[in-house]
Amino acid sequence: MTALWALFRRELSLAFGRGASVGLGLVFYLCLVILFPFGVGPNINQLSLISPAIIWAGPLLSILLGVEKLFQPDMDDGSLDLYRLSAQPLEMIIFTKAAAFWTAAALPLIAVSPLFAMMLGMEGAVIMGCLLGLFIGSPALVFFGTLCAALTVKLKRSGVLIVVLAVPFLVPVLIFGVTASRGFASATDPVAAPLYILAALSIFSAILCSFAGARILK
Amino acid sequence: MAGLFSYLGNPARFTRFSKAVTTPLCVVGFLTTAIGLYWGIFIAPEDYQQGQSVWIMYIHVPSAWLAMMTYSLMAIAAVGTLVWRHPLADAAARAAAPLGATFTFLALVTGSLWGKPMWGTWWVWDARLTSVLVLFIMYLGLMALTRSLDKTASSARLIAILTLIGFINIPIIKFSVDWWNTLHQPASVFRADGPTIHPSLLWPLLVSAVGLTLLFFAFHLYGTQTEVMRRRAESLEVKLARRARTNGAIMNAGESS
Repeated sequence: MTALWALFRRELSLAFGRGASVGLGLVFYLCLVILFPFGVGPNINQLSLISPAIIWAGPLLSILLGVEKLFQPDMDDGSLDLYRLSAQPLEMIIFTKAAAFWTAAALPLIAVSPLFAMMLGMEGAVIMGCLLGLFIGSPALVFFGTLCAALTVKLKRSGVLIVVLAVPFLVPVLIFGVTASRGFASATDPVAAPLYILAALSIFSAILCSFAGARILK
Repeated sequence: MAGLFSYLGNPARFTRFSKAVTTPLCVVGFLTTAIGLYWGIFIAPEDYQQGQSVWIMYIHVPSAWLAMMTYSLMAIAAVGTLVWRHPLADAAARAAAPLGATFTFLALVTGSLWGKPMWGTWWVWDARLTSVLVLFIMYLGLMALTRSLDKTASSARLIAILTLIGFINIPIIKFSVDWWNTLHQPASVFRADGPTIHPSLLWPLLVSAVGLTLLFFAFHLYGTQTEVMRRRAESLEVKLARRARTNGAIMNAGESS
């Protein structure tokens, strides 16, 4: 357990130490948020209709782009071989790395989401819904991204391929995430059910991707 | 069945079998498809509501069935790769992916052409159409991954794991029309209470489905055979290069002494 905790802290200090990887994800998200008003037009009513989709798609793409660097440096400097040989099960190591990535990359994205949501004309209750949904559903994004990063670890430039491989698995997360935020906007749409399904997707993907990832990297 | 599998498990025997079977299978499949389409278009009556556009069904429905069957075959092959580590299972999965993508694409395009006159729109984001589109992306992702990885046993395992995880989409496609209220009609052939299509339209549909399935197997056998041969050629090239290098080393040693 202490070994995994040490790994978790190592991953965090690497993510923040490099600086760029966390900051760049946020800047990418900001760029996406800026691009949409130019495409749709500055009409705030129109923007607030599609804003939950942007608030979800931004972190999704940002996570998928960042996850490329999850196993690649370990592969290059030989840490991956040490993980394979270590007494800790590889499943737990992958789980820990993904959890650290979620803390370092996904949490800042979620934290800035309310600001971007306000820029896109979202109402207070819907912002809360989006935030809650992102918080519950983003582990699924990270874990499916981790799986695809493990699949492409041997490739030199895997960024676009990770996106193509992960998108089929992320479609349900996006569907239920946006449904949840819509539930907060109107009285008739369901609120609790999509959040439960997001939680289920996150737990399911955590277990599936840890075990499948270990089989892949072994 | 198990006996047939273990008999064909030997790549040399498989190549002999598939060489003998591919051409007749292709001819029979082509003729059966042609008969099915001729029957459907010229002999069977037009649908009382849809008119001639019901003809699209004779391509659309078999393509959609085959799109799902191909993925199921790839999942079975993935089990073969993971459990028995059989190189033929990997070759079969690799050969199936482009065919599956083609049938999925055909199902999407014909469905779109059919949707315009019937539903008034080329595309709707309902559960059936979306899940089939996801299947298409899955095929493309698998093909991209297959093409960018080397052909070792370990990359075969990666692809098999991804194929198995993606299999979750197949029951979603199948039951999407029952679980969600979709514009796409629910199952009308394989139902517990019998098909709801009139026999005069059902028979040509089944005939063209059998024909296209035979064509799929012909192409799949041919593709798998090509994959086996490609591997043989690669291993022979490696052998040749190794021999050239040892010969070169001997010659260099001779010169320096």
